[in-house]
Amino acid sequence: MKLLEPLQAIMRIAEDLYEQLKEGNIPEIKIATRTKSNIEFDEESSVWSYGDRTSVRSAKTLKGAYMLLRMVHVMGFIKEQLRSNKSSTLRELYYISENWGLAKFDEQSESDRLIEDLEILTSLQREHFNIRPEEDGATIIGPIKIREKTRRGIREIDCQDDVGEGGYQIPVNVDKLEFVECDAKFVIAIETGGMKDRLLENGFDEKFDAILVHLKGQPARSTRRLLKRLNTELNLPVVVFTDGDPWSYRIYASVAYGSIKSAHLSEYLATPSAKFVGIRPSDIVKYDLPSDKLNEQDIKALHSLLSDPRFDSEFWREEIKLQLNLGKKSEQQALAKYGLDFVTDVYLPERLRELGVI
Amino acid sequence: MKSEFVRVGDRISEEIIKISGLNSEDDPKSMGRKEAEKLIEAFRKVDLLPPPVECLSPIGEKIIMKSLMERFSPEFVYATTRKPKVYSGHPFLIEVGIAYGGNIKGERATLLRYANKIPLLYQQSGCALTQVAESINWKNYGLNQAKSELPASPCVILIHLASTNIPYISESKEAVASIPEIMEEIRLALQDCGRKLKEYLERKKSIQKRKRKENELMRLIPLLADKISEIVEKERVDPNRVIARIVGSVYVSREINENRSKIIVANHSKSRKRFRIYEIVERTTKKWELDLSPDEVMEIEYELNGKLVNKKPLIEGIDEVIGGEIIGTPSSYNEDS
Repeated sequence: MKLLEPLQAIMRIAEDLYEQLKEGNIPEIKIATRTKSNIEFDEESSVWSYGDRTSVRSAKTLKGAYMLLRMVHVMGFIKEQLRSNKSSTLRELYYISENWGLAKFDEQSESDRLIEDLEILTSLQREHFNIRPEEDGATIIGPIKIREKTRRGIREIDCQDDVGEGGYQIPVNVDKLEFVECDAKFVIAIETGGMKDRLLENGFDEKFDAILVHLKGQPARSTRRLLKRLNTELNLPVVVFTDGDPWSYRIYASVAYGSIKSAHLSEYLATPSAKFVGIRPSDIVKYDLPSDKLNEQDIKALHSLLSDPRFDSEFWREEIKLQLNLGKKSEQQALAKYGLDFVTDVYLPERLRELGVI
Repeated sequence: MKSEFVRVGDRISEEIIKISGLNSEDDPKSMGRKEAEKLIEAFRKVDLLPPPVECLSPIGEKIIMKSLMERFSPEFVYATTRKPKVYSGHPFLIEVGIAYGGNIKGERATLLRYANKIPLLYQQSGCALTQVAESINWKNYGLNQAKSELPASPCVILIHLASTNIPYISESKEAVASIPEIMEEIRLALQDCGRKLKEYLERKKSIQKRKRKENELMRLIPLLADKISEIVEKERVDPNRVIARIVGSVYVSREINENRSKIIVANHSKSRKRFRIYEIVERTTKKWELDLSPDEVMEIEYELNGKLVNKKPLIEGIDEVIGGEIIGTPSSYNEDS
């Protein structure tokens, strides 16, 4: 499909709705179904994208009518914004809807979702509409030099020598970064700040020439995009190191396979070769890790993973079933049972060698 | 025996005598206490037919409903007459009527008790009729209720006990005694009425829900039409046709082109609609009779040789239309088929 100018693309959806109303037809919009039952593996790019199933949002139902009214308001807002060459954040968009009467959003997640719907409908990205997310504070630290265009001119930043303890904060628009120099051998993406600090304190980045990326929970698009660029442009292997619970496996899945919510961008965001370090359920047994009991939500989430096509592999099926049998989950920090150096001296080197990364 | 008891014939009397061990030739007057006991014992063992019911005088479901309707003007009324039953050899039957809402106000149900068509006015709380009405869980039937009380909803409950022998608890004939057979019949009759009331309340609720949804959509769709017209920078699109489609009603619109007027009529409801359309041009009134099946669309064109008086086409014969103005009373004319 040929990409249209953002304004044109928005206007085409608006014109379509206008025509439907004019013909006396109940207005409706067809959009890819955004559930795990409608994501398919794309052989060509090895990522998971939306399948052919579509859902209809029709003004026949109250829910559909509200959705269309809000969408129309958002389209009007984007139109004005593009014309006047301004930009806004997702949060600002949510607050602007305060003036939209019945079309007002109740929660920011609703307006975020609507922007995603427009992305899918137009095959564009929210940046094309001059809408950006908030910085989410994810950071990177390691032997790489980056060139960034800032408001005060172009800066070259060495992510090991020029940054403080916190590292270099990943900007919203990663595509504007340039990689100048890189001595790293691989990238390790870490779920929790505590573990990132542990690796830094133990000098893991220097010892193994690793770039540390702090995901801060479920990673933002910019973080995932950066990982993808490091992987494809610098040929660096990417590994993901998280807690040992279903929510963390989802973090890995969204890095490696693409997330369900933004599967329309998987090709642009996912790093199919990213490998999962752990904590794996089998590690809980292998290292006899301190653990917590799985709660009801954990168990539900694990069962849901079993029917998630992204986890339909022997490795994941076995690990998930093992975890359900154990009834336990462990955090990354549980490795401290064997001392603070265990993770950098034993656990990671062993696992990375197994994975063929070092 | 045959002449003194109802519904006792040769077969049953012989059986009773056989079981009691007495002789059929004995003179009843010479029987002593012992023989009498044997006889009573035998009565209990034999299957006796229920007594005839011609002696009972029910009010009848129709009359109960009619009078409740007349007296209280409720929005819902229902009544039931149970089949006759027997307690201690006395035939009886129970009738229950219930009226709900409408002109009935207040947050506590009114109970009307009748015994053989005579209203019982006093000692309500000591009466078996009241006790049964209070023991029903009215919440199951969509009414409010504090535990073991009459429902706390605007309704009137009528209970009529007809019997050859009303078991009053005292000489004053103000309250009925708690006879299990009678109480069970009252309970069944009340529950029957409760079920009908619940059906009505649920239907009412779903209609209200649909109405609310329609009202909300009727606010949303014009907003949608306005905003979308503003964005595409075109003439404001008329949302009425879409609204008629969504709520399932008749749609009328008029377009005027120089001196010709065109009326488009579409039946977006699920039933056949018959109605009239009027247009008043200067001093003449034009009239069309329409008969549209569901989803049928019709165009009417006429020469406009003067000024139109009415703003929207006038519609007579239906009670819901979008784009036109309703005149006259619909019920006398239209029936859905």
